Amino acid sequence: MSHHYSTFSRVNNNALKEPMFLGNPVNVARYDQQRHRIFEDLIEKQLSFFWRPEEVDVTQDRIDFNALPEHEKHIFLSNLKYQTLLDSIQGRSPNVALLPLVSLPELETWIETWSFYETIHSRSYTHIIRNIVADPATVFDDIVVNEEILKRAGDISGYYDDLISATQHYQQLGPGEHTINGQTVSVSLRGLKKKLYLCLMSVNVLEAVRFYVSFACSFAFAEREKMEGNAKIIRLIARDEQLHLVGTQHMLNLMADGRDDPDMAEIALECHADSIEIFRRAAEQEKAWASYLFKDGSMMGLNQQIIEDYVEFITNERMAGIGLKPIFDKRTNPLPWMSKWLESDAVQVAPQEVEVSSYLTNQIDNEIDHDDLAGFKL
Amino acid sequence: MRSITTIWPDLSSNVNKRHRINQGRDTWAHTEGEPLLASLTPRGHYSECRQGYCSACKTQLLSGEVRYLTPPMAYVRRGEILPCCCTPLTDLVLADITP
Repeated sequence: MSHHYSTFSRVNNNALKEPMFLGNPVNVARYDQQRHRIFEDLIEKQLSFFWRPEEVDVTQDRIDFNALPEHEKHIFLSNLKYQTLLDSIQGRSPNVALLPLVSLPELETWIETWSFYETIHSRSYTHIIRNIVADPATVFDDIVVNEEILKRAGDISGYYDDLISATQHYQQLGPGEHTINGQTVSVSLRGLKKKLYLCLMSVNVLEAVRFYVSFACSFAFAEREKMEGNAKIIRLIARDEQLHLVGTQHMLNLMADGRDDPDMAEIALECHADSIEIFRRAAEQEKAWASYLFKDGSMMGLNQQIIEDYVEFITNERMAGIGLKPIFDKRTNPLPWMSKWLESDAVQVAPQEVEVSSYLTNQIDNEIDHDDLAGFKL
Repeated sequence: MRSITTIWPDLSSNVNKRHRINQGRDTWAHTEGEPLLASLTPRGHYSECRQGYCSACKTQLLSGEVRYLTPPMAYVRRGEILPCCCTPLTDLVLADITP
């Protein structure tokens, strides 16, 4: 197969025999058959989760926000900034980095669907910020100059950037030693696959660990009946992120178990230590983030120690999800109340018997009747 | 076109039959037909979505047999089960996960 990318490969290939990545580019977008059925199921599930930020009323949040003490405003806004950074990256990078390499139609569409939902998340941060502060620019403009956020941005975008650059060299020049602007660059398919594996691992960690400190803070506010509109939106985002996480876990597990590209099974073994290191670094950075959040004071129900324990707990859980041994001491969930915010509806046995939360957005009741005010006396 | 399969409650199974579930030093009875997670949650078992996709509740099954109420979307290896969407068909022994 050629190392060039084509938007419609004319190779008459059998898509059921292609690997997930770096086989022939996808030609016909067909979903009647799948090599890996899971990606088709993920697309269907994700589409059933469709929501728009404007469906959630955040007007009460403005009142709540103005009444928060300064150190809690700092916690709230910092988390929103960090999530804005994460979704800025995730709204484009899977498309830019993975689509030129993908070889299965169902996976190609899953990547596009996944990325699209991240853009909804980005739009919801604008929706929230616009509603709680007078000038949203003060929040957004800080993201590219805030030292604490920039410290994380490098690690998160680094693996993507590395992969994108290697893909460009590979697709333009093919394997071999090349001189580019006076620098010798060694390009190989194996090297590219390794960068792909590490990139997927880093994305997996982003979705598995990095979002969860922010989630915990958002839900902790809502447990006190503060910033509940925000928590509703974060809950929808968390539900999407769980799905995205399953997508990357499947890619990594299919590779590691040799159920896709045999090279990738070897690469997964080679990258074992690097993978653990990616988890460890992310956990350390998230703990450091917690100390920045709580620098001027804790919030009710959460403090730096609890968040650190939670980061260790969730890191262990996520490592187990892709067959890695936990790196932190085993512990029980330090934030048991988080579960109720992270669960979808109860298991749906027959579709007609239950309400499915996928259809239950826009639930705020804005109807008001004279009788509702009957108890008030002026 | 892909065929659409709906999983109906299996009325022919042993509804109301109780099986013995063992995990470490803890043993309890669980009614067949109920998701296994229902009796694991009060014992501190971690879960998130409860719909079979997030994989947070995944656990090791050392012996016994389960039936899925809905097909799991999470990646489940041999010997692993997703308690949120499966129910026991026999007595079960689960891996001890107490810290």
